[in-house]
Amino acid sequence: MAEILCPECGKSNTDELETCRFCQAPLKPIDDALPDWLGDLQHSEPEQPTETSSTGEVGGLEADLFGVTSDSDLPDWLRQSATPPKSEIHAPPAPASTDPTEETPDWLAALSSLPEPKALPPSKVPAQGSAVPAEKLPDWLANLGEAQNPDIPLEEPPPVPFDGVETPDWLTSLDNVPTDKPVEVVPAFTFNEEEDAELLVGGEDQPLSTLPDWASQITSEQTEVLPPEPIEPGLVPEELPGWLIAMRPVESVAPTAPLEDLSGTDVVSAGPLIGLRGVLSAEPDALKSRKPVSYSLKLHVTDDQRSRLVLMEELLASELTPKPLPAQPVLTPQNIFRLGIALALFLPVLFMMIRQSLSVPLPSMETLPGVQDFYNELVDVAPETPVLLAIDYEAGFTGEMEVGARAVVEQLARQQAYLVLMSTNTTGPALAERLLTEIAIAPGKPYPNAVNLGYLPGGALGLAELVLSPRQSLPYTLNAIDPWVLPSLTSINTLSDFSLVIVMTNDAETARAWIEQTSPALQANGVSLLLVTSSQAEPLVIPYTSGALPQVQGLLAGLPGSVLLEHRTGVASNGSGMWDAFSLSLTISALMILIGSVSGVVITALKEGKPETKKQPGRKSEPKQEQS
Amino acid sequence: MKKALSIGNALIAIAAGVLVLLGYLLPELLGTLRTLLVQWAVILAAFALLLGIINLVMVHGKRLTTPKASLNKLYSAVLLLSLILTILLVGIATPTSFWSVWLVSTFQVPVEASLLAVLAVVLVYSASRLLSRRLHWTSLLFLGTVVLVLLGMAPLLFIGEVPILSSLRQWLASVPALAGARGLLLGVALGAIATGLRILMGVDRPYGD
Amino acid sequence: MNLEQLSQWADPIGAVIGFVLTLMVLSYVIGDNFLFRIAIHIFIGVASGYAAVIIFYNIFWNQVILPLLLVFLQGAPSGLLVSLAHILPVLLLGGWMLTKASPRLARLGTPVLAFLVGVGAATVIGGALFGTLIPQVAATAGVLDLDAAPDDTGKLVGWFISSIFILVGTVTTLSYFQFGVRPHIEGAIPTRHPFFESMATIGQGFIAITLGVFFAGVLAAALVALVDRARFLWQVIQSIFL
Repeated sequence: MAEILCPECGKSNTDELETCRFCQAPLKPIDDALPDWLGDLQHSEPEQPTETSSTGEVGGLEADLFGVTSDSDLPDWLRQSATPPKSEIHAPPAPASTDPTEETPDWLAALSSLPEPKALPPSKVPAQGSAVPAEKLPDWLANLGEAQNPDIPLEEPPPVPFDGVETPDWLTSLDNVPTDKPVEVVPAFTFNEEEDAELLVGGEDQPLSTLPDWASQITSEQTEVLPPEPIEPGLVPEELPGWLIAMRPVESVAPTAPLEDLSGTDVVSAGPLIGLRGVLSAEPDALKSRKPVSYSLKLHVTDDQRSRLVLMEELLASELTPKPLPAQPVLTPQNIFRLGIALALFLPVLFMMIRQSLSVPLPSMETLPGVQDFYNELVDVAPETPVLLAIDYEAGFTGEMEVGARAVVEQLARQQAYLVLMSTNTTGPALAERLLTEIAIAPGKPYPNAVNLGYLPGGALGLAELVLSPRQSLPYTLNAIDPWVLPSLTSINTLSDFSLVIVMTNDAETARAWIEQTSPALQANGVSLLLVTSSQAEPLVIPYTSGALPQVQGLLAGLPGSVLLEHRTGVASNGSGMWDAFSLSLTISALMILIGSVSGVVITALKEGKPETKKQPGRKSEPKQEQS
Repeated sequence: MKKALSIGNALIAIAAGVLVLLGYLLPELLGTLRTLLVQWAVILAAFALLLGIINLVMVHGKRLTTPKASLNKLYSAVLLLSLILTILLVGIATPTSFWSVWLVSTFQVPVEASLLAVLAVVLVYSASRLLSRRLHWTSLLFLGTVVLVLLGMAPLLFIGEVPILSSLRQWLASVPALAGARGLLLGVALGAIATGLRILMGVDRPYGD
Repeated sequence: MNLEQLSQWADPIGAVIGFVLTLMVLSYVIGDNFLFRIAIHIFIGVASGYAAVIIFYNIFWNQVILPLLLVFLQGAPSGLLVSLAHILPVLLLGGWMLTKASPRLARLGTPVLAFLVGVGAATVIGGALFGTLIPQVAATAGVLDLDAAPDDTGKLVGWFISSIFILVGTVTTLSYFQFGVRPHIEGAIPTRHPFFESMATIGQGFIAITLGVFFAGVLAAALVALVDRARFLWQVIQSIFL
């Protein structure tokens, strides 16, 4: 089977198809589908232009073509063309037709090759005098009627030269060409006589019945295609002037290459623009079934990208491996300064301990009013009455806390109070045991009126349970003895049943938990709560000691209070031995803070006042501290 | 399922907390229940402390099993060894025996006290550098108070008690420091109540989902 | 060597060990070092071990095992049942909470932790309300209580001024922690009301003084520890070398 290549998309189709199966463009040339008259027009060779008489005929033909009946109705260009100069008419476009190298405008060739208009059939020729009076007809139209009468010879109208207008050469050349044969007018449209008859007789249903009269009068006379006249030697092809080229109809212009290559574009297969390329299709792209474009999965990596990738991988790998820190010098300025402070503090203190100095006087009771209240509550404890001692300080604070704790325990032991020791701290039981060994009568003879209940977990939760039921919260001692059956403790059911509660703690939060959980019940039952605290907890406990109904009836804070109580109770303790060294360390610390602060401010002020000669480019100075 | 468990946990916390709180307000009606719940909570707090110790052992035990040799392995080994020996010694001898007290006095007291002694050096160093880092009227007031309290806390060597210093120290502690501490305590109490109420309403869930 | 003889050597041995440990920790003034870390890890091990044994003795032995043993020895089944009914639920809850030690089973122990947190929160609320908030507000309100005023006129003026100072200080300290701001124009920095801003500034001063007293107290406690260590070192040197 023969194959045809589609003129639009270039794909092969079978011979039988009329439209391309890919782009729906017509496969066969348009010529085959055209009507005969249009096809004849396309295939007809350019003929010599008609003579003057035929000009009138041309003018008349034009008048017939456009249905013009009077001279006033003629457009200007047609009026002018009605009486053209002879030279223009008679000169055939020889140079254009004979020289194959030169481009002869098609319209001009067509003009020169117009055949003689065929004589209209008698039925079509309007009767003279029937429609328009003769005196009203223009000459060319009248001549046209005479020309149709073969007996009347055609007269050439006299040439009317243009006044003051230079005749172009091509037109002159056209005049010089003798025309022996009358120029035959080529009708614009040619019809088959048979078709004409059918159309003219018939037909309201026929499409051609809608044609205007002038078109229907055109006969299907076939004009003889005259061979082109040979060009006489000596004729030089003339170059067309610019204005003429500009006047050239678009259709006759030689097709130039399109601005863009439309061969790759789709052909419109639907809508009024069917068959065209490079236009927006009436069909939405979504409806077009097209095979999706396949993209390659292979990643195209350039060398530059590959090198960057290697760099990134090295960077990520180096993130996982710990980098060795640069060796820090052991003695930095900060370390030296800190060592200096340590030596400045430690050496004088060691010196005072070696000297065993006791020259610093003890603080007065007026400066520590809480100590007197504490002492007063302590001495009010009756013998054999249970006193709860909570040993809640850390092992590191034994140096400060044991001074006061020992003084308290010693004093209570003197008064034969029954001591019940417990702790909410895991180290508390051991520290409580240390205290009890201090009040031992002799080695191996512990103080009989004391019991160590051990550790109470839970913090505030444990204290809440202790307030409600000490028996349930601490049922046995660490030695597996039931203390609540002892005579001194049989009456104890709640915390308020104790005669005194003394809490020894270094932590302000522990003190606050004790006060919050136990003071409401103790206050309600008139039981005093005394606190032995470190210096660091004193500021947060003082609010509980003031007011109309203080929650803490006595406060012993820090070494000053403990030493004072020690002195007040007459208990021999380590406190006095530490007092001188403590006083000296306080003074040295205060002086170092003063000197360090002043020197720091002065140095900072001097640094800021210095001109910034070594300032790095683009480095900003530190922002000023905001005033809150 | 996860959401149901989360809501269930929140309901448990809310129910337990509300019952204890109502026990405060209605002791005759809910006092016994409150006591029971608090007792259970105290014992569970001990379990929580035990859980912390178990976690400590697991962490340092895992460090021992790492193939890479480092000083951290030695530290973990020292910790675990001292822990095991302490458990053995105190467990056999009971916590209040001579050897238990000796253990605490020999190892715990010196190390903790020494740490506190080093803290003194660090505190003096940081106080002396404060003004050079931040010159502000509150810093000046802070340092001035520190110096006055330190000087007024004890009589001075070779000088004795300076009345103005000791009076000033006493006034500072009993008036402005009292006011500030009371304000802080009130703020802490309000914050504790707000945090507790948020837990009892299920808004905060520190126990996890 | 029996235990008694051993106990006689315990004190000197303990002193030497304490001496060495003290020096190892004091070496931190130069910087973090190997000796310091060893001393710290020994301390953590001993403290944790002691805490573990204390918990066993005080909780498991004293509150669980011992009561059951005593009731069992008394031969009263009803009492045993009551004790079991009292103890078993909490033992089960405690065992349930121990699942938190395992990363895979940690979620199982959350309900028990929720119970603990709920009871703890309620206890803290009760303590904060009845133990601090109400009494301290009453104390602040009663700071100008004339019944507590001194009789002496000279002291009365000082008392009055101090009371005003305390009242103003308490209120301004509280207002410092008030961070509510007024509705502001878009783009402008939100600020408090000028009255609250001035009160907060005054409160800042009182807080600075309070923290200064607090800092001085911490420093004093640390200095006592330093003096105590110095004394201990000298005593050991004296007893061993002198």
